[in-house]
Amino acid sequence: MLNSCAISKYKHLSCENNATTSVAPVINPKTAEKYKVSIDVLKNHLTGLLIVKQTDSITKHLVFVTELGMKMFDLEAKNKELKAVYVFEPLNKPLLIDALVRNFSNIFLLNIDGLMVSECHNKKLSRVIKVKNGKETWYYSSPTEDSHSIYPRLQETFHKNKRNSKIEYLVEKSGSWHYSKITCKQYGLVKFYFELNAILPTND
Amino acid sequence: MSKATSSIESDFVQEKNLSVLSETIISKGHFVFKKDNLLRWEYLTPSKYLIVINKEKIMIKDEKKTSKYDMNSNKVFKEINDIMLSCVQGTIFKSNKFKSSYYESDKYYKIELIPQVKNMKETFKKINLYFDKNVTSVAKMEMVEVNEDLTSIEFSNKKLNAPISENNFMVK
Repeated sequence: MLNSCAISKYKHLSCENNATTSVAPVINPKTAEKYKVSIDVLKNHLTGLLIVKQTDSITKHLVFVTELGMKMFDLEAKNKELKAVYVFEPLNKPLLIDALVRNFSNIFLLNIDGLMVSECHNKKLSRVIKVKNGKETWYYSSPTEDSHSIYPRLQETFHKNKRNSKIEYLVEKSGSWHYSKITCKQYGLVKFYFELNAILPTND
Repeated sequence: MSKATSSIESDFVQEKNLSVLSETIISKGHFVFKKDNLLRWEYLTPSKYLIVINKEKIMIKDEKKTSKYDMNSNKVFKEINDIMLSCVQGTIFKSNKFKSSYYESDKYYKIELIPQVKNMKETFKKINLYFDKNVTSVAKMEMVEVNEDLTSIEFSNKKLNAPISENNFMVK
């Protein structure tokens, strides 16, 4: 019920295509980024480190390793598609892999790569961006910033009118702007919760 | 670890080399082992993560959650327990789960372990244990995965047979 109502706040907005507006990518093409990650699904709790790196002009990898050093999965983004190229055997279940691929695609904004962005007129003190692809719609909101590129604080994803997930971004400036904390709730029968905390480079 | 050693305490540096990314993840921590089956394995950076093995019980504590398991009720943890304890004690080469070969360099004795059981073979290509020639315990361990990813753990500031409080191994 709540998930169906979630879209109502966006329904009244009028949105127009805007080729000059874009959503700032989470993945830095020049450097590898590391996150402490926890994933909760049903009664399972998995923690570890996620390394995100662009390996060539069209390929990005998201590799999850436990604290003990065991690689759990390697997701590869290529040609606007994210797919699992390695999954640790006990986790190698189609439903789980689908959920990992869909949520990490949303979290890292790979879902909107190359799609037309619409800017929505909104009386509140935030900018709302809409991206649509078939029956999937993604809304991004961020504080009003006079920039063509927005750093979203909130992403809500809908299938038809039903909310699939809610992703919140904490954006901080340390030299340049970066996403320091990302949380993602996936709704539905099997609920997932992802939390990513960026590990900033140290001289250690 | 020789028969005369009843406890061991050490810092460690773990390096995980991911071949596909040409990236290394460096983790640092501390471990304490006391005969027979008491182990505290603690990561301090980049994230805090603690594993305590106390005979048949295992506790895992991360930055958000503490979980406790009974070793006998969980096959995976039983396997983790066996590997961690046999690596720390240096008895892993006696296991029939591995085929072992022995090498010697100026600095180390090296034991190369090739997994012989199905589950282990799917993950690890080999495990190398390096023993200091002057200290009778493992100085370095390398785990080479099938996909050529390498995890190495190097031990330093080692203390043998120092008094160790039982509080280190409390599962609470």
